[in-house]
Amino acid sequence: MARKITIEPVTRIEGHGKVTIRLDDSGRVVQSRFHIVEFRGFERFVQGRPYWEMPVLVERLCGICPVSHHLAAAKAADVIVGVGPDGLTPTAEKMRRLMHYGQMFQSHALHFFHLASPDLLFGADADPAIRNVIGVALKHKDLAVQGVLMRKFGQEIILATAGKKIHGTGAIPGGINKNLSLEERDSFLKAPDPMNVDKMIGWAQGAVDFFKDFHQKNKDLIDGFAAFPSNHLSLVRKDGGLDFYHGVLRAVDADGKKILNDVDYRNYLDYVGEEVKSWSYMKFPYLRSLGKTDGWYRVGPLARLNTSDFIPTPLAQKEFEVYKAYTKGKPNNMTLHSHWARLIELLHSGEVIKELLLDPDLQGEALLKKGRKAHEGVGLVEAPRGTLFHHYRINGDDQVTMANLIVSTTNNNEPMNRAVHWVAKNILEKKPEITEGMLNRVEIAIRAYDPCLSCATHALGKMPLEVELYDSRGRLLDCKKK
Amino acid sequence: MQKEIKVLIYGIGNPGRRDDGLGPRLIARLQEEGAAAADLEIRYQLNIEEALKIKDYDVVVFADASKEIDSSWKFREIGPSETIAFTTHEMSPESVLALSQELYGRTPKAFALAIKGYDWEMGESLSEEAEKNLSQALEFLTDFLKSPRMALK
Repeated sequence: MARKITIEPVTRIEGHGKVTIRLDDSGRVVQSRFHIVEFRGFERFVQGRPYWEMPVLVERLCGICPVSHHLAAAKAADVIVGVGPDGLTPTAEKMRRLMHYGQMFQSHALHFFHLASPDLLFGADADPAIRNVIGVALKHKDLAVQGVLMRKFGQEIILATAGKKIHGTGAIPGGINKNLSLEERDSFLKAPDPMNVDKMIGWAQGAVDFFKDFHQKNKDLIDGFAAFPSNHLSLVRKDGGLDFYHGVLRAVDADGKKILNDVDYRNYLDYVGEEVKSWSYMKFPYLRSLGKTDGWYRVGPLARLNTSDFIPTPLAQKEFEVYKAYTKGKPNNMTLHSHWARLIELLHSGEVIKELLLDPDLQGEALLKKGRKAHEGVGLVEAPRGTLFHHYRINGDDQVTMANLIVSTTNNNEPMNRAVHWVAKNILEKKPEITEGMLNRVEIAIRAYDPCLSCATHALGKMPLEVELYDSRGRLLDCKKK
Repeated sequence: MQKEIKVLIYGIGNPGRRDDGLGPRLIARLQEEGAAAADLEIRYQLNIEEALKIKDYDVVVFADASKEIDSSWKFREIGPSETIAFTTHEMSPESVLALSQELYGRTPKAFALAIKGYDWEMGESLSEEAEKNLSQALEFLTDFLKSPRMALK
């Protein structure tokens, strides 16, 4: 009997993500799709609002990576006030960097300890009741405590730089509205264990070591699961180093050949197109030079470590060398290696936070600059999940007339669909019964990309996951909730 | 002398999505009135670090908008639960309680205050009906906060 399997989180307003896999009468996969409801309405919502509101207004897109939206919009607004993208004062740029790397640290820690580690520690076939952070707390209390405190440490960095943990106001067009006091600095450098930056770097190193050990014991899973060749795109520093805040746009293919060779991201429309497909609200970005069929690309930790030539901090660079040696210097196309790359970035973020805290520029008084006004601005940052584009045009009254946002999860739309399809073909096909463990593997494939499904609202008491089974005539045969 | 009862109130939601901002608006109203003997926090959504925060309180109230309830507001006691959402980055109040129990060996007495909302489009104001529901919920909560010790019985 032909079947349709649906995995759909039910929410108050809209389904955040839904997987449908269609099998024919013989159990072969005929179609697989991963749908995400995208927040495109936001681009219309901001029209008519003054451009200088954008850094604060756009944060309401997301409670998970508001800092990324805040900074991407601020970088676009820097261009509009005539100082961007390279004209900020040292204090302003370094305060923004501290904010951003604080966010990367907390977000990557959250992903590993809350979302990824349960899959690794307990396996895809484990009872869902323990395959979560509370299960980690039960069986591996030390890891769970580290996860909570690393997340809290990053949140406190954001609070000190942005003014709030969520929806801060630190970055303003042309600069920043505060510096870092010596008391604030010392609260991160000199606090008793564990809430100081040295302890955080140590724990981040421990997380990398944990993953490497797990990899050694589970190579078939980590190397083979949902692996497929792809292009990769990210910002890199002008010298090719890893950089989350600023740089030039680089893309490489699955063999490492450069497709975009360090171009100015303000001209992104020359290089990146967005395809619309009838079955998804979310667009499918692609590199124009390769076309819609072949130009799709990955973003995020895996992509960043494929595009970057080196990591400009010592501990992370050492881990980067081990990581690159595993693929003999070639791009890494193994989906679950995203976790490895993310943890190396976690370590790097901790190191950058320490470097910045020790930099006296953070106590500087020059916070703001202005230049010749422009009527258009593009800002890019590397958000935790990947490259984030913000683009605004304004009129003579400073009102936004056009906004275009390409969020990281949109950039990863096609790769996540490919990952789901891999699971469908390799795990689900020709099986007489769909088990909980098989469906968990679909989740694991998606989770590797850490998609942000949170750009909407949330409610008390909603069932987060619903699995429905239909026959070829659309009749509901089975429904599972968890 | 009786020990002071420490109370924490979370207002959860996105104030950029109209009635989804009921929780944060409740906190704003409590702050304006200045009378609540409680610590007040606004969150877009809950996450793991809240387990660390709630462990130091005797009573915690999670206030959030709701589409489902059939009254203007609903107040109920909640307890730890291990349900975790799929691939999202949020936790339910019950999951936060469970994590606090596992990590720190205690959970506060906890309540969910659901306030009925109607309009979830982008915008910064509440719907007229939601404003009324908020006022009713606020009236109840203000009374509740006058004697939080009762909640421990």
